[in-house]
Amino acid sequence: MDESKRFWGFLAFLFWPWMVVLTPIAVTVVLVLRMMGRLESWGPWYAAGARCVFLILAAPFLLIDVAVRSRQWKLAIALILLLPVMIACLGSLVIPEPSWQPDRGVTSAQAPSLHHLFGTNGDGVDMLALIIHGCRNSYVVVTTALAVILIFGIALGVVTGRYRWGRYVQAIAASLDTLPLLFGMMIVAALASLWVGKLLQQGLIAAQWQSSLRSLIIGLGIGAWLVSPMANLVADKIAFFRRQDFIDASISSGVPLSRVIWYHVVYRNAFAEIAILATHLAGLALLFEVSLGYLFSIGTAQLGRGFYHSLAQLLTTPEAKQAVLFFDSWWLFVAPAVFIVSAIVGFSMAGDGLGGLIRTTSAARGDTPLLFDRLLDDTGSREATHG
Amino acid sequence: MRFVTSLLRFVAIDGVLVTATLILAITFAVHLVFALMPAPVSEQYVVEVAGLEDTTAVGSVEEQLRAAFERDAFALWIGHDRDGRADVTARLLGQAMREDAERLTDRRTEGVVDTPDVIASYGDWLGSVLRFDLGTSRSGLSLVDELKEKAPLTFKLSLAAYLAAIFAAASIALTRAFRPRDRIVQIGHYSTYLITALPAFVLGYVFIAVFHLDVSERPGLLLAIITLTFSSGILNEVERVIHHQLSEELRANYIKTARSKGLSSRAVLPVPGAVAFHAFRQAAVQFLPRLAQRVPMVVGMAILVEKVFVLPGLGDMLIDGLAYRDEPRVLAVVLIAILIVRLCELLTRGGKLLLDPRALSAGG
Repeated sequence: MDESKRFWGFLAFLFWPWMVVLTPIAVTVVLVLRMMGRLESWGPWYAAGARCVFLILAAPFLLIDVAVRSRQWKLAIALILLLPVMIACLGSLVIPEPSWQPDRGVTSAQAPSLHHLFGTNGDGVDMLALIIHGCRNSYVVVTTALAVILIFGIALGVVTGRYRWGRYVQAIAASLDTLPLLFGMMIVAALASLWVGKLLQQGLIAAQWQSSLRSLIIGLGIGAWLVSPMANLVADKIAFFRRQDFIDASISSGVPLSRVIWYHVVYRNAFAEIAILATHLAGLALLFEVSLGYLFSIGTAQLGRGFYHSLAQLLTTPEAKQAVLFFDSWWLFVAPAVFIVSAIVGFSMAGDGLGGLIRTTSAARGDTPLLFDRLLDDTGSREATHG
Repeated sequence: MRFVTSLLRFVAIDGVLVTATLILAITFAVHLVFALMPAPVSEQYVVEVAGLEDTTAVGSVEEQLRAAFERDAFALWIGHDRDGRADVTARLLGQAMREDAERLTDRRTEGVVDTPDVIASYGDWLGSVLRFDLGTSRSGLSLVDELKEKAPLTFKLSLAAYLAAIFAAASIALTRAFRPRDRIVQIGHYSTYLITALPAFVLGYVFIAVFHLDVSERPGLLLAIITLTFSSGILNEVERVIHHQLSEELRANYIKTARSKGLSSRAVLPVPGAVAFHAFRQAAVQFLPRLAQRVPMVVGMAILVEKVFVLPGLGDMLIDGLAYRDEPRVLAVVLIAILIVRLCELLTRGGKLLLDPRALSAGG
């Protein structure tokens, strides 16, 4: 395979889940909007929500579709890469302030209507605006965690696989797992919340950055707890390939060991499995993220007060609990829950789909079966290996 | 004799030495975190001494304040209302103490942390732990008593859910390995993706709604265990790992021999006389260490489930401890959480050693 294609393909795989999850939503919304054809006349709140959906979800995906059809891979991948960044950075710009204000005249939660696609909460605030805000924070956290997992996980794996003392470093990293992630993250976040508050009080950070800073801290924490599976995979890969003839041949022909490990093993032979594992771990990170979001909003006193906003917090309001317990105002529970569950399923299914895709192509090329197959099963592995 | 020696070595090294090292490292890190915490002295925390009839603290208010001040000089906490009606009932004892508190706050804010103090106070805590005394929480209750009341619940919940998840996953994996084309098994396999993706609180609320459970009056421990089994995030992975190892074993030559000798290759249950028994036993040697790595996830998710079903467990203690900056309480929770995780891990690894005596002879 061409080198640049391999590299860009690697990046595309990392951001595949967003496409899997958001494309159907974006396309449906755009189609509905087109069919209705009278965007602005539906009032400022809906128009704001619709504009935001169109800008954040639809436009990049339409462009991605065009780019893929015209085989402009770099453009397509750049757009996919930009998507979470757009959601993260531009969210507050494309969702105008009025979306956050209660709909005047609304005294109770309103059912979904053309005016409010996902209904409103008891204060009359548009659920769509709330969901997009929650998604924004969630994806910042997942992206940060993924970056930590990839950078530190691969580096740690290489150190472990290459140096004898590396296994001690890995043992230290793995010891973090002994304290369950949710326990550890609660402690980290308690410390972080006080420091962020302090920095804010002293004027060292601007008020508008505090939300991003908090998401970043949560992302770094979750990533740190999930580093060791990635490190184990890379270390196993290096241990496996160091016994292979072609690696011996490379070393004996004078190729530096660091190049052999980074290029021939990690880049040429491990990236597919790294991508698959990264997708799985991203799903797990999202699961932890929503769990933390839930815990923060119900934690007593200062711990949860305003520290961290997540999609999951939409499910912790008294209204949402009432919605599920008494089947009253169902949209308050169903809409956020569907967003959360579909995103997590999207990640974990995408990881497996990706594995199947890579296995099929590698089997067609007659490559060796993936080491990941021996670590993590799937039904397709046998057919691909023996096919 | 050799078996006993190896077993003792496993218990001594893995059970005691490694666990002790982990406890030392992690609790010291948590202690350091508390030392680095900036003080929360600000308008919202500081309430002037007045109107003390609200307090639920044990002993006289003066005593409580003094004791609290000695423990943590920058903030005074005299108990709290769990329902959040008056969640901050901190009071500062006089202007002199306020000045002291602010001076200390400034020192901490500037990052001046006395290292000897940190180490000495950690040493004190460690000494008291060795005497089986975890100290008292800010509200004056003995932490050992509180843990005796709350830790068993988390342990029961985690262990039951962990075993149930492995049982469910193994059932699906076994059936899938022997009946790969069975529609129901396929549906079971794919439904593990969906179930695993359901956060515990979503599933918990659905269960509470469906079974009309009034959690404030009748805590649903069984429903909590079922919720944690499904939504601890391990079901899907465990199922795939077990299925993969089983498939590997079923292709091995000894299984062909067993089949040719007339052992049942249709029976799904791993009972003696069936191929499944031998394949599962060998596969377990491979997959048990991987299952042991998943224990912390279950224990972690247990605090979520406890919150949903309003069960008084470690999660409750941790959140309260953090919210009121009650260091002894947080350290006690961390200590017990590590012990629970290590115990479950060791049980899993012990299971592997029993199945595979070679590993025991090799020293675990």
